Amino acid sequence: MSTNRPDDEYGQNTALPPSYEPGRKWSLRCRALLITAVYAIVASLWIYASDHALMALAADTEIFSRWSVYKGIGFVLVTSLLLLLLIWWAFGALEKAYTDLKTLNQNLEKRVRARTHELESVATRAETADQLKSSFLATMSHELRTPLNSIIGFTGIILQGMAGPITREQKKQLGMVRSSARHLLDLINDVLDISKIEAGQLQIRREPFDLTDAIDRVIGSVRPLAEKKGLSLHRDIAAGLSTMRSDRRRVEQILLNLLNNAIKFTDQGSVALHVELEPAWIPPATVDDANNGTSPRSEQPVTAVRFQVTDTGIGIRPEDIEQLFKPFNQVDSGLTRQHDGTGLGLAICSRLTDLLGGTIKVHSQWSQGSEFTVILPLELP
Amino acid sequence: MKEPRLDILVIEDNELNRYLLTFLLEHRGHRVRSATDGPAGIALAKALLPDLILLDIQLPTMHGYEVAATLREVESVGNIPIIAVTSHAMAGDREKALAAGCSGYIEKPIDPDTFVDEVESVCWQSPDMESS
Repeated sequence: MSTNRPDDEYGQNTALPPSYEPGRKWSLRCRALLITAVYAIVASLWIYASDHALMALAADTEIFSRWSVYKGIGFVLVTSLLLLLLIWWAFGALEKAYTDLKTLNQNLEKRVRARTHELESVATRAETADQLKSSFLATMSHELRTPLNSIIGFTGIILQGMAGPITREQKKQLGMVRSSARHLLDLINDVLDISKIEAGQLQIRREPFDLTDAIDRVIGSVRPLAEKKGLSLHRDIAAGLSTMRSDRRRVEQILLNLLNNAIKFTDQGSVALHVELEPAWIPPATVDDANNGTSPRSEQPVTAVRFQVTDTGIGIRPEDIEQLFKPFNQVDSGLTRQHDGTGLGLAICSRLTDLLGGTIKVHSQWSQGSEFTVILPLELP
Repeated sequence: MKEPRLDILVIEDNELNRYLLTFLLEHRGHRVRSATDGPAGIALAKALLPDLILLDIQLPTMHGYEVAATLREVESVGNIPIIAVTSHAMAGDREKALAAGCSGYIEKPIDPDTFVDEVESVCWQSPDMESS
C-alpha cells in the first residue's frame, strides 16, 4: 500500500488520506456486502429460532402473538442501535477524510505558490543578470575605445606630419604604434563580438539585400591586402543570385574574416571566393541552442547560398582542424607572431554561421591550401 | 578646390579627444569652439550659431541623444547639422543617433586620415540629407 503514496520528501502532509488509496475502494465495498450478508443471515436465523422457541414456550396463540410483537419491537430497537453505530462511524470517517483532503489541498496550494514565487525570482534574477551583462558590454566598448581614439588619432596626426616634421626612424616606430593600436582595436571588437554572442546579446536582423553588392564590398576591402602580398584575388558569383534575406552586416563579417584569413595565410598563389545557389539544402538538425534557443529546425530542404573561400596557402594539419573554431586558437603557435590576428576570427565565423542558421566546414591539406565552405539559408526564417 | 571655412562646435567631455578633434579640424582651417557637456553645448550652440555640431554621445549629466533632440527643437539652431561621434558601436546606435535628429554618425576610434573629409561631406550635403 505504501508504494502508492506520493513522495514523502516534503513532509507528511503530502500523503493522501488512507481511505483514498485506490486499492482500498474495492475492499470497502466487500466489507459493506459482508456486513449486509451477516445481518441478513443473523436476522433470519434469529426470527426463525426465536419464533420456534416462542412457540414451544407459549401456551396459546394469543400469548404467542403478544410476545411476538415485543420480540419484533426489541429486534427493531437493537438493529436500529447497531445501524446508528455503523452510520456514526462511517460518517465520522468520511468527515475525517474530507478534512484531510482539505488540508492537503491547502498545503499543495501553498507549495505551488512558493514554487511559483521561487521561479519568478529566479527569472527576475536571470533578467537582471542579462541587463547587467548588456550594459557591461556597452560600457566596456565605450571605455576601451575612448583611449584608443586618442592613440590612433594622435599617431595619425604625427605620422601625417601635421604636427611638424619627423625623422624616418620616428615614422617607422610610430607606424608600429599605430599598427599595434589597430590590432588592439580589432581584438577589442572581436572580444566584444564573442561576448555579445555568448551573452545572447547579438541581435540578428532580417533584411533583404543584394548579394552581389555585399560580396563586392567585401572583396573591395580585402583587395589592397591581397595586392600588397602579390596574390591574385578571384571572385566568382554564379548566375541567378540576387537578393538574400539575412543579416547583411554579419554575412559580410563572415566573408571578410574568411578572406582576410586566406590572404593572411597565403604567401603566393591566389585566393578565391566562389558563390553559388544550393537549391535543396537540408539545414542542420541539431542547433547549438545555447546561442539562440530556437526550436529544432525541420528537415525540410530550403534554398541556400554556398560561399567557398579557397586559398593556396600553408593549409591546416588534420589534427588542428578540430580546434580551429574555438576561441584564441590560432593554429601552429610557432607562426602566431608571423601571422598577426586575434585568433577569434574563425570562432566568430562559426558562431555567426550558427546564428544565421547555416553551417561552416573546412577542407585542407597541409602546405597545399585550404577551402572554407559556408552555407547559409537564402531566407533567414 | 578651396573650401570655405566652417564654424564648428565640438561637444565632448574627454579632454584628449576634444583636443584631437579640435586639432584635426583647425589643421584644415576650420574654426572650432568646444563644450564639455550637454547644457553648456546647447547654450554655446544658441550663442554661436555654428555651421556644424560634433556631438559625443556618452556625455555626463545629459545624454548625447537628449542633447540632439533638444537642439532640434530650438528654432534658431534646429537646422544646424549634427554629427554624432560615438564609441558605443553597439547594434542600433546609428539608428538611434539618426532618430534623435543627427545628420551623420562617425564611430570612434576616428580615422585621422579621413575624419575631416567625413565631417565636411556631411556638412556640404546636409540640406538634402534627411534620413541616410
